[in-house]
Amino acid sequence: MSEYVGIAVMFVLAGGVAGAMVVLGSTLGKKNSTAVKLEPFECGNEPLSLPMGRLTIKFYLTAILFILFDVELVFLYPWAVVYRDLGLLGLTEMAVFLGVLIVGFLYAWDNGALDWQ
Amino acid sequence: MSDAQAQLLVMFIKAAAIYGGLLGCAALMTLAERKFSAWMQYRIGPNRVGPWGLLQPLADGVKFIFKEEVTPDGASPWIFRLAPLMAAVPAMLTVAVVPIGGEFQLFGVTTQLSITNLDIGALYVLAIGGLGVYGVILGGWASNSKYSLLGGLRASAQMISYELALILGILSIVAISGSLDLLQIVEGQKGTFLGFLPDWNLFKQPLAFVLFVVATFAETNRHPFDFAECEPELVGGFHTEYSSMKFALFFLGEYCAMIVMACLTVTLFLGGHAVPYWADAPWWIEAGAFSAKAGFFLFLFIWVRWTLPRFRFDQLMHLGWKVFLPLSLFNLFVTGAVISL
Amino acid sequence: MPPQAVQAAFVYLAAVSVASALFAVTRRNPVHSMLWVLALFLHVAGIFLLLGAEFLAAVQVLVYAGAILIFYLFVVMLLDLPDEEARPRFGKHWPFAAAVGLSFAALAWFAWVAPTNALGAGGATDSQAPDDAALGSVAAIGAELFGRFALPFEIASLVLLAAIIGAVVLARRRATAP
Repeated sequence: MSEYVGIAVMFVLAGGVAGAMVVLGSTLGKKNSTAVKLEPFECGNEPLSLPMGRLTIKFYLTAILFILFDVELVFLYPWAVVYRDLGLLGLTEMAVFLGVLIVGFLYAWDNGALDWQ
Repeated sequence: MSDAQAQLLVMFIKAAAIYGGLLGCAALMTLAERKFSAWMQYRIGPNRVGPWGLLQPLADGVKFIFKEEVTPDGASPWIFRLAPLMAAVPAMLTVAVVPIGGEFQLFGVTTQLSITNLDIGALYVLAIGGLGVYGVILGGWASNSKYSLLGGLRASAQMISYELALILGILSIVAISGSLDLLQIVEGQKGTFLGFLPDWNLFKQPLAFVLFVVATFAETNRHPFDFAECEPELVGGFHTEYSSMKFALFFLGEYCAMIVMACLTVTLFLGGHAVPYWADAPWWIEAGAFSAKAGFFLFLFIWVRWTLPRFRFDQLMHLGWKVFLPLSLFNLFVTGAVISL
Repeated sequence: MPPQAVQAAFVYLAAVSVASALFAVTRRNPVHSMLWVLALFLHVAGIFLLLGAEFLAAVQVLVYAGAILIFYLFVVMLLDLPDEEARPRFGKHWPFAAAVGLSFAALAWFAWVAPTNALGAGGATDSQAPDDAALGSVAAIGAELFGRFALPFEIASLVLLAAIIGAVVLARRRATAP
């Protein structure tokens, strides 16, 4: 457990330095803002509406496929660690597990879920 | 001084030294990037501040602090401030488990040159490093600008897609060494392979190595995968609206992530701090060997940037999901089969 | 670490977990809620660490904070936030939500007061003195997962397969609609 004290020390150090940089930048920088300067950037045009509500489904599909494969890989960590003790049985277990998921992967591929238009 | 106090003191010293080293490397990387770019384009590059422009990063830092900070209208104020921190801090945290050098003595405490050593080191790097996505996506959202939002979404979709290849690359190494502990992974790479090569995982896992290195480029949003800041389409990407120190912090985070990725590549595939053919090298030689190896990969980041053109976003996603994911799964399976037979 | 330090760390982690959970359900801006959920996940991971469950803590961060919450953020970004914030705080289904909440609280209370074996969890915690360091390690989990729990492990792949197919089907319908 005490190994994680080092992580906490590092977190305080990194967060402190990065936070100090942001605070320093905000307080020491000059402020001279005009209405035009504060507009969202749009190549000099009048800003049009924001793209909220018009996002393509692709982003969601990518994110959810990532979750599913991420969960799948979570099972692989313990497998990779104890693999040498398990031997052929471990390989078979993992082959069945991955085989089922590869079916899902091929299904997603076949249905164009992995295409990005 | 009691033993526990000494250990605590040693840890603080190591943390401060390694964190300082990381920031220093990141600052030098900004200079190296500009210098190498200049040389590759037959220019001179920054050469006015200090010898060879060595003080340029310092001058840039001071300038960033005193520049005007613009928070665009309609931006979400707190998240707009928080996003650069969330981009930079995870990258800085991951360096804590990288074993930079072997054992040495300080105040009577025997310790290694790494802030800490976890049993699940490789997993820690992935878990904490993965949190860097938040800075990108929240920065894009909080700016209230369409370029920022699209840039943030694209960058995060890209980062999560290539994280799978990254994880699978690490897993095939873990299967070889039977541990998630980065120090043990390094220990497993000492000695020789086939009698004359150093026993690096690079020679046992060439496919995983190639996939891993390419995935690190995508993961850090570097060329040829830098869609986060694809100028012709998205202006500056998720940090279009950012200025002064907050902008600098995004950059610092990006360079820290590059350094950590280079360190991780070296640790996993190139024997970490192990010096070839010299098993009991002193710790400072090991640290030097580690830096030299990591330096090569940092140079590779810059070299590739000025060599390859940028991909298209759909090509990137195809490559990630239809080439890298199946190939790295296949590689892991073959690794498993070879080990068990 | 000395026991007092562990105790203090637990109090801090538990208090912040509860507080951020409360913030997460009371904030009007969904993105702010998400950030509080992120704080909650990270602190819960800390509690897992205190219990010696290193692997579980890492997975908590990797999967919940690093993948699932990102997906939620993608969804929230699609929402029309000013409209969302103007809506009444409690939807029509609040009695149902309250019932679920109450029954969960009852379950937690039952688990707390009931003797260890009453829930049918098996005598593992009683018969073997748990060796904290080894119990939560990746190797220990691997040995159990691929030995005693091999069948549930294989069934998990079917659950994931169903989820993949479900996601693909939903996205495809939406994509072909005009």
